[in-house]
Amino acid sequence: MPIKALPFAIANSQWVSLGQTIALTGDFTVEAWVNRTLVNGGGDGFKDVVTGHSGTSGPSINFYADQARWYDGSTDQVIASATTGSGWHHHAWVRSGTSVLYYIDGVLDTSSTGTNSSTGTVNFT
Amino acid sequence: MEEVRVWNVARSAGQISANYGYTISPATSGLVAYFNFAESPDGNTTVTDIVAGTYTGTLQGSPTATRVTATAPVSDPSSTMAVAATIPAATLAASLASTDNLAVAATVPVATSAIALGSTDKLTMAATVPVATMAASLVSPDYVIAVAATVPVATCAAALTSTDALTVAATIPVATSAIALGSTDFLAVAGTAPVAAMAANMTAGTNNVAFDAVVPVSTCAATLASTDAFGVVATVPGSTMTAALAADMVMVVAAISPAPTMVAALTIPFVAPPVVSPWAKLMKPRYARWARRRDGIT
Repeated sequence: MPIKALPFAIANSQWVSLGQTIALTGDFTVEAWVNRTLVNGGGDGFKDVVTGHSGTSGPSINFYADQARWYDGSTDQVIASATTGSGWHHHAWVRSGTSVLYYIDGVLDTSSTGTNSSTGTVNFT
Repeated sequence: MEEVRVWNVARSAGQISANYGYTISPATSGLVAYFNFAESPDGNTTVTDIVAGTYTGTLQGSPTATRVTATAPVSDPSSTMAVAATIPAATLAASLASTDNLAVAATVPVATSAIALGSTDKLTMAATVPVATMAASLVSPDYVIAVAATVPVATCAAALTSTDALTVAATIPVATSAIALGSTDFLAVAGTAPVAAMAANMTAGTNNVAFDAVVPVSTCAATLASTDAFGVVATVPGSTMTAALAADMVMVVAAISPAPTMVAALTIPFVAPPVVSPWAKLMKPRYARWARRRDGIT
């Protein structure tokens, strides 16, 4: 089966609307391969990858300033230690108990423990 | 983006590392939604959740996004290639940890092998080239090195310590073998040429040397210590054998020709048979003491 990808090349004007929302409660993992050159043309603007909101604020996994972030609606729970850069990279966000962990290309990059009880729903843009 | 997966479990670091470069079965436990964007035709606006279809969505926006051929390094795990290398192992620098086993079937010299073995590791080499310059360094006990060589092992420099085992299957003379064996070491030599000049240096006690020779052993100069076992399977007369056996030593000779002139010097103490009084034969037991005194036997 050929593997395809969605470019979502035009900033914030294309997205996938899921048939049902996926509730992110308790432990979960969200992972995807993302090419920042394709997503938003590689720009540094605020670009959600997975969102739980329909407006301009709310929980999201995004690449603001080219750094993978987990935003709980009011603050970044975890921010990648470095900019993502060009090309394809695999990103994984994990919540395990009160810990939030971010992996890039299969390697743990950043984690935090504390107020990570935020919940949301998955959509991706 | 591609290969979007949503799980209702916290995937471990090992799971993420092991699977991020591969597609995964939609039936994997904990997988809630899985989008691989492989719907056809490409203009299809449906984005299928391939787990159960529950979260299948549609492309939104204007203009509608179109798919591109994915170039991320994601592959089908079932297509993983197994590589059978036929290139020299000379530069192999494998570092083995304890309990690892490495089997090397090399068709090129292992002379420059730089394999470092840890305690209890085992190295088996089936080499078809000289091992003369092999520099395998065996240290602590429990190492086993088996060399099936078809060339002289005369210059073999393997250093064995106590309890190591070295097995050499040589098809040419081992006359110049300079292998030094320690206490309790075992050396088995299957030679088809004279072993006369073999200079195996065996230390006292418990060393074993087994010769399966098809030529005279008359000039064998092996020096055996007490408790050593020496087994010779000879197909020629052992008449001139001059092996010197010490007390309590065991010598086994399977000869197919007469051994009447064998001059083996046995140093086992001679035990005289019991002396019987001629008078005692004629007297009843109660006079036996008198009869012995009569014969001057006390």
